[in-house]
Amino acid sequence: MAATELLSDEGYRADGRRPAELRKVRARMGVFTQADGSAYIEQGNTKALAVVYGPHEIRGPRSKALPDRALVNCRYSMATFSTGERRRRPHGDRQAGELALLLRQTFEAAILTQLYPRSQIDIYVQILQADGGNYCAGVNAATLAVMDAGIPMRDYVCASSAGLAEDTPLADLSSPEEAAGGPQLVLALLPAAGHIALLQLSARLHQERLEAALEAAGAACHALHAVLDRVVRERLREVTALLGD
Amino acid sequence: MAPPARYCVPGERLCSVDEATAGGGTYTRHGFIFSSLAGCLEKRSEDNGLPVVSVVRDAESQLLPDVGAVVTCKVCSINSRFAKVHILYVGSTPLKSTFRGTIRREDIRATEKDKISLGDAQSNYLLSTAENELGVVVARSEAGVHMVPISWCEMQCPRTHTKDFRKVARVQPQFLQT
Amino acid sequence: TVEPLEYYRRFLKENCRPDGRELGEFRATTVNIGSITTADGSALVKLGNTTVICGVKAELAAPAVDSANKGYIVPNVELPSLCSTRFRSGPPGEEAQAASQFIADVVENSQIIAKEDLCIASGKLAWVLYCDIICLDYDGNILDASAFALLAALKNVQLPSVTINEETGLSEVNLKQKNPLVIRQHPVATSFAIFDDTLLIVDPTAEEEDLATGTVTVVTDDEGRLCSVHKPGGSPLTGAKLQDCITRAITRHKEVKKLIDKVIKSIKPK
Repeated sequence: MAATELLSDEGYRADGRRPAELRKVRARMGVFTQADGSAYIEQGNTKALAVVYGPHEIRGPRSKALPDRALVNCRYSMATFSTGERRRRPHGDRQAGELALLLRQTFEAAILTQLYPRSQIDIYVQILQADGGNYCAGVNAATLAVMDAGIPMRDYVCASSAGLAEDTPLADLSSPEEAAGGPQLVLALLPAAGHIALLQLSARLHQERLEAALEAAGAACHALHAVLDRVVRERLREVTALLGD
Repeated sequence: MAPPARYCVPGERLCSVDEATAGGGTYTRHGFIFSSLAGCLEKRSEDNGLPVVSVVRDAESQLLPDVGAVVTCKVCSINSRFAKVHILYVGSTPLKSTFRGTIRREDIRATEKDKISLGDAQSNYLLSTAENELGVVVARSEAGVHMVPISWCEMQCPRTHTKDFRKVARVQPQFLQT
Repeated sequence: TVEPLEYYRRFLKENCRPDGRELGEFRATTVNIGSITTADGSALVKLGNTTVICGVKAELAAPAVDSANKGYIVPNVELPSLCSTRFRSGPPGEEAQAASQFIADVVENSQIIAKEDLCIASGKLAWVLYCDIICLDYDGNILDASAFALLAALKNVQLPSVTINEETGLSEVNLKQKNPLVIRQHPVATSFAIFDDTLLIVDPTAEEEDLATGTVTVVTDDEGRLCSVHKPGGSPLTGAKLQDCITRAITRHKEVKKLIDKVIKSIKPK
C-alpha cells in the first residue's frame, strides 16, 4: 500500500477512520483468578492480555535482588496464531526480547518500586491477535493489570502509535498501515504529568514533521487515558458494590 | 454502607502538601499529593496537625514481612546449623505466595531476642524464636500423628509415647486455628 | 491453611469438596468459538477457573514420503508463566510436554480427523494443521480443558479450497470458498484425581491435584467407546473403580457434546 493510499481523497483511512481517530477500545480488568492482577484489552482487532504477579520474593538467583527497590520482570509473547502468517517462535526471538526490555523500562518509570525492596513484580503480556499497535495494546493492558493488582503507580501509562501519510499525521495505526512502510512512532505517556516514558521512531522523518506526529500520538494517548480511566472507575464501582453489600 | 467519598486513580492530584499529610497509597511531588492506587479516598483527621489523606483498596494487596513481625512458617529443611522455612502467615493474614526464611541454630532460644545480628546484605529473612510466645506450634511424630506439648521444651507423641525436644510456643487458645 | 490435607479429608468424609461440589461434579464449563480472526479456527474454553485458548492455523506442505495421501495435525500445549506461579519461563517444562503428548495421542487414537481428508494432491500437496493450545489461567485439569478446546477449535476451522493448476503445477488458494473440516469423532477427556488410594474425585482443581496421590484420565468417543486411558503412575486403582470412571466419562461425553452443538448452532447464521 503506497503512502498515498493510506488516506483517501475525502480524508478517510482504509478502515473508514478519520486521521486522528482511535480504534474502538474494549477493556476488562480482573479476568483471571490465579494472578494478582489481570486485564484484557481490544483495540480494533488487536487483542492483548496482561497478567501481573507480585510483589513476591525474588525467583532465581538471590544476587539479582535490589536492596532498595523491587525488580520488574517482563515478558512479551505473541501467540503463534496471532498473525496472518504463523509465527514460528512466540517468545524466543529478539523482537520479543527487545519489547520485553522496553516494557520493563516503561514500567520501572511508573511503578513506585521503592516501596518493595528485595522483591519482584512480574508483568506478562500475551498478544492473542495482532492487528497493528500490538506493543501499545500490551502496555495499556499492563497498566490496567498493575492497577488491578493494587501495586502503587505514579500514573497511568498510555501508549499509542502514530504515523504520517504525506503531511497528515495518523493516530493508532492498524496492521496494513504499519506495513506500508512510512515513518511511524510509538509513544508511551504518563498523562497527568505529561511525561514521556517511551518514544520510539522508525524510518526517516524530517524534524519538522516530528512535532506533528508527536502531537497526534500525544492526543491519542490522552484519548486512551480517558477510556482507560472510565474502565478503572467502573471496575471500582463494581468491586465496592460486590464487597459492600 | 455509606456511599464512598470519592474514587481516585493513580496520577490524580488530591491536594497540596499544606492541606494534609500523605498517607498510604499516595505520593508527593512538587508540593502536591497524588494518588498512587485505584481506590477510595480516605481523609482521617489527626489530633495534632494536618489530616492524613490516604487511598485504600477494598481487596488486600500483597503484604511483605517486616522487621519485628510475628510470622507463622513451615519448616522445609533442617541441618545442624540452621533450618529453612517457608513463611506462610504474617500476623494472622495468609500470604498469597510464600517467602523463604532461615532460623539459625543459635536463634532458637528462650530469651534475648535482641542479640540477633543481621550480618551482611542477605536477601533472606532471619527469624528467631527468642520469646515466650514463639516456637513450635504443630509437629508430627514419626508415626504421623500430631504431637502434644508437655512442657516448654518437650513434645510427646500420644501413640508411641516417644518424647521429643522442641521449643514449644505458648499460644493463646483463641489463636489456634487450622 | 496449615494442614491442607486434613482440611480436605474433613470434606471428603461428607462426600463433598471445599468449593461446594460433589465428588462427581464438574465445574461450570463455558466455550467461546471463533474469537480470533487471524486463526483459521479458534476456541476459548473455561473449566471453572482454568482458561485455555486453542488456535488452529493451516499451512500447505508436501506430504511425507511414506504416507503420500495424508496431511498432518501438529498439536502443542503451552503452559506459560502467566497462567500460574508454578511455571517458570524458559523451555517447556515436563507438564507442558506431557500434555502435548497426551493431546497428540488423543488425536491419533480417536481419528478425530481422517488425515486423508487433509490431502489435496497425493504426494504433492497436503494441509498441515498447527493446533496451538495456550493455557491462560491454570486451576487444574489442563488435559480435559485442552482436549475440549482442540475439539471446539477444529469444529470452527474453515479451510479455503485449493486447486492445482494443471499447466503451471502451482497451487491456487481460493479464499472466497471455504469448507469446514470433516470431524469424524468427538473425543472427550474426563480426568479424575485419586485420594488416599480409595476416593475418586472428578475434575480436580490445582489444589486438589497437588494433594492427590494419583490421577487418571479417560477419553471416550461418540459411540461410548474408549479411545485412551491415561494413568501416569500414582496410587493403584482397582478394576471396579476404573469401570466407574469409564461410566462417568461416558456421561460427561454427552454433556460436552450437547454444549458444543449448542454453541455451534448459535453462531451458524453467518
